[in-house]
Amino acid sequence: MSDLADLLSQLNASLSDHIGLLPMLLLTILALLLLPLSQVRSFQRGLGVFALLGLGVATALVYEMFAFPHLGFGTFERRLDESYFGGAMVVNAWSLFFSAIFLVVALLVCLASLSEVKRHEPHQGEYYALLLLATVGMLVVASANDLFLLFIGIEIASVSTFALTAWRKKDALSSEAAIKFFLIGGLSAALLLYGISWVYGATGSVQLGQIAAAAPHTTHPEALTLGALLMIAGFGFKFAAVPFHGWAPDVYTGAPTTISAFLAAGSKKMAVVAALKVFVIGFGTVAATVHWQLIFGVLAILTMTVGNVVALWQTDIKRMLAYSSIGQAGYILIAVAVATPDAIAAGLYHSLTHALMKGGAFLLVGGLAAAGVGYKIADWEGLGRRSPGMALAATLLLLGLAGIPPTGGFFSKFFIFATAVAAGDWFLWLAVIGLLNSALSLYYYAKVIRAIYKRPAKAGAKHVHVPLPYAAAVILATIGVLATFFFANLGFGLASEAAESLLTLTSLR
Amino acid sequence: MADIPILTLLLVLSAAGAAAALLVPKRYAGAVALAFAVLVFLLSLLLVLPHATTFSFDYAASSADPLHLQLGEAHPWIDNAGQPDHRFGIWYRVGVDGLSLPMVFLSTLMTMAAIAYAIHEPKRPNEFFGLLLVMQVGVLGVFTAQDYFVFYIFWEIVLIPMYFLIGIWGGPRRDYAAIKFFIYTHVASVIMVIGIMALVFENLRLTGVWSFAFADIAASAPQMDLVFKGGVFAALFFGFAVKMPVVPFHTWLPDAHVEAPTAGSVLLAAILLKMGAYGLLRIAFQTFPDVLRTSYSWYGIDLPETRQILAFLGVVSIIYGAFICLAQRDLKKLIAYSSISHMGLVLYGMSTTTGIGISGAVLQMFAHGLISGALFMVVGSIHHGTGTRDIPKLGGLAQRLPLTAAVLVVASMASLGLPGLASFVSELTVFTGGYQAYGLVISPVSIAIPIMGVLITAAYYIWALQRVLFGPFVERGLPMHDLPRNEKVVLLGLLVLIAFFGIWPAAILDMSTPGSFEVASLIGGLTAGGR
Repeated sequence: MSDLADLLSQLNASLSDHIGLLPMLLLTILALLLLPLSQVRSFQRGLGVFALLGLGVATALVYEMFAFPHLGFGTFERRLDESYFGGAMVVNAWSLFFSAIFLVVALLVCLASLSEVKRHEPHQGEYYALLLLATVGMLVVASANDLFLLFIGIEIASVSTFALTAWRKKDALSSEAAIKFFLIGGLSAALLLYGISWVYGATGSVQLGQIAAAAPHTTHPEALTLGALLMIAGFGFKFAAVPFHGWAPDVYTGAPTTISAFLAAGSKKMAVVAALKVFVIGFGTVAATVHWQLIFGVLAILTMTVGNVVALWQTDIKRMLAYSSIGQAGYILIAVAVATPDAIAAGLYHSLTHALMKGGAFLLVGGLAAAGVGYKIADWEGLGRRSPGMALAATLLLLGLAGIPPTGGFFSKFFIFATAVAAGDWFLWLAVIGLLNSALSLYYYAKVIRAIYKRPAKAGAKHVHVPLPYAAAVILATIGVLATFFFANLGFGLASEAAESLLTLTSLR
Repeated sequence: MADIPILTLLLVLSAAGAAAALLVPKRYAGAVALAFAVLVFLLSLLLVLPHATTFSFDYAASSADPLHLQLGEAHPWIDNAGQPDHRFGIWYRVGVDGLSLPMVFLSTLMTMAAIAYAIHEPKRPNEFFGLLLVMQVGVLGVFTAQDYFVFYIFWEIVLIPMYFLIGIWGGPRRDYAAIKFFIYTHVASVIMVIGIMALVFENLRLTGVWSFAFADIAASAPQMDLVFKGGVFAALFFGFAVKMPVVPFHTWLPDAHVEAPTAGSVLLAAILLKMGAYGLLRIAFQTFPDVLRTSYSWYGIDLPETRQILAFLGVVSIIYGAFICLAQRDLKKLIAYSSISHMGLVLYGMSTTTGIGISGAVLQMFAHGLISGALFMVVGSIHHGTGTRDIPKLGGLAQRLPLTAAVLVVASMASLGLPGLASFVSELTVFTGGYQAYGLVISPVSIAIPIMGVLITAAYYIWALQRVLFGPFVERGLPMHDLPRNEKVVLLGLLVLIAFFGIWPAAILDMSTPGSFEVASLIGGLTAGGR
């Protein structure tokens, strides 16, 4: 008995030393368990619930660590600002904020998947396992403090999402999307890795704090610049920033809709984390010579303008959302370019609201498709009568994307523009262009709302019954969108805390 | 009792009414909405009546310190006060003074009237009444907000229900009218928000403190550069001018009015147009009193004083709107253009920057709210009753629809300024202010020209009445009916109020006059003539 007690206490001690890694560990173990479990014929329906529970526990852990550090029970005491593996991984407010975003998105997607993944479809175990692994990859990125670990996290997430995109392999669009995604993803990984190697060559380290310390004294500043450019291109692809965005509309349109939601709401934010980390920390000391702020500023202008303008002409809702997602990425890039602590916090807050709004919007599209409504804007005509609840949710989500109160999107955009103006200098123009874009974008969102309420339904159109899991996910996202409006003060406070904890990484050597 | 957050309560009750109207079964939607609207109206009535309750408006305090806010509420919203990196300073601040109170009362009154008028709306009643009450939330918020951020949020909230009211329940060209309304007013509010943000950041630069409060920014405005203030004034004025609307930014209004359902037209004319005028008086005038008396020069061209530019735009609106009315065939469009003319009078009255002129402008806003509401309702009734609004197709209605005809006559007489009815007093006061400021004929904005507008107004109304009501009856073979009971009650009630405020305008002037004189003295305009 005492052996067992010893073992338990050792395990306990070891666990409590690595408590910050627990969400990742948990999800990895669950993902590996799902594969053998999926062989049990009678357990097919349980797989999704199993994954959902795992994500729920992981979310609760992150929430526990982030929001209530002082409410520790047993080993779950405050573990913010822990670093692991010799500083390669740091769990602090920053990583927890993003982990929370990723896990919430994964939860919503997993919930909706309960109905998207049909009873008879093959490879359900793989689907959920890949979903969990992709989430693990994103969590790794959120807490990585080392270029290699960052790269590994991005690749775990990317490879999983390539496969997820192609999950319906009999579906031609899905396969086409996957192959495009894979080729572009491969290219961007190569660019990223090549960039990392130049940076390593110039500074002699892959750890962000050390890069920051070595960068101003490097004997090869041009190598550093080249490395930065290559990495910007690599992140640009992941982020679907113009001109690296070509793959996004096809992939978002072709992938199973839950996966589109996951990509647009979740994995895109992974590139935000990575870019902010690498440039604000790693290149923070050489902003004057590498000019990455200027590059991100130009990318921001291009990205939001092209995304919003092209979205005006879309008739397919998934494609429209894809371009809108590009436009929204442009707003976040403003925050990356400005890079003051407040602006970073604003970018974080927009990442959160955008994850909720865009995730909710894609899931809504999927839910309606599951109920027999098509993907064209014209198919949504008369939805206001055919499904009043979903129509209201759609309105709120779209208004949020357009930045109209009472939605979180209103505040997150306001924060981005206000902090850009407050930073002074040429950042003012980013805010002005952002504001104009925002006004423009209202047109295409309003077009959908107009179709929902104003146009009569086609003859013979029946009441729409969105499957319960989908409806639940959409309603949760919508509540989140409203909550981020009314409690914007709290949310922005947390984002500020996260942004400040990012800046403390500089001191880690 | 004194601690009841009465203004928030008005907002919350309106929102609750909207939710209730959306959720109840179809046939109760109108009744539920009306019940909430009546409740909100009664509360606002208690607010207005002197000494009725502890939360009534304090008239004595108001004349002692006119622009001091009463019933104020302030709660931090997006603000981390007390921390070293203080930021945003967005507070939920509401309050009323003598200038906003008439508008609050008008909003609750006309929303109630519009709902009662339209109570039998057959098409999608839940959404219809829900949207009307959502709009009430927006307008009450605009008229009570004391924080730029909150003001802007409510300002935007108003847009959406109006868009749908026009777009779903509107006439044949509703799509075009709705999108035009939306684009015009949205562009205007984007430009307005740019002005607001410029102000906030300038205030931040000058004081080092984030704040969106009207009062804080007005307090630091004297230190701002006069050219900067002129630019911000122009941005804000653009936002408000489109809403009012001022010629040449008016073209959305006739389309919106003609296509909107009657209740939508009523709220649009009676309340939404007032938002622009109120914004001008509350924000632009009180934050930048010095801009109004400044003569800017623009690329070497010396402009007249800013207030004279406003006065000129007002005169153009008065005259242009009136002449356009003469040419209208559609009775509803005629009233829409007459709104432009009458709102021009509001702008003219404010631009005099005299106490009397501003006070008259506020009364004109109130009177026009009642009268235009009544006119749009009676035109709606004529349309329902006869199937057309086309003036040449009407004629001799007085024989067949005596009650409708009587109401139309009285409302038109009120609109053209017949003594004893509400807008006579306001027009007279505005012209008195105009005379004090600009004289009779000495300047291009002297009162000689706008007074001509009154003559034209009389002409187009009387001519229209003659063609619609009198002469031989035009037989169209359609069934006709006089006013249904609910419309009768609402219209007669409004006419009684129009007469009441015409005979006893002090009911409104007691609220608005002290504040108007205070604003005038801020600007440095004439305050002679007593309070």
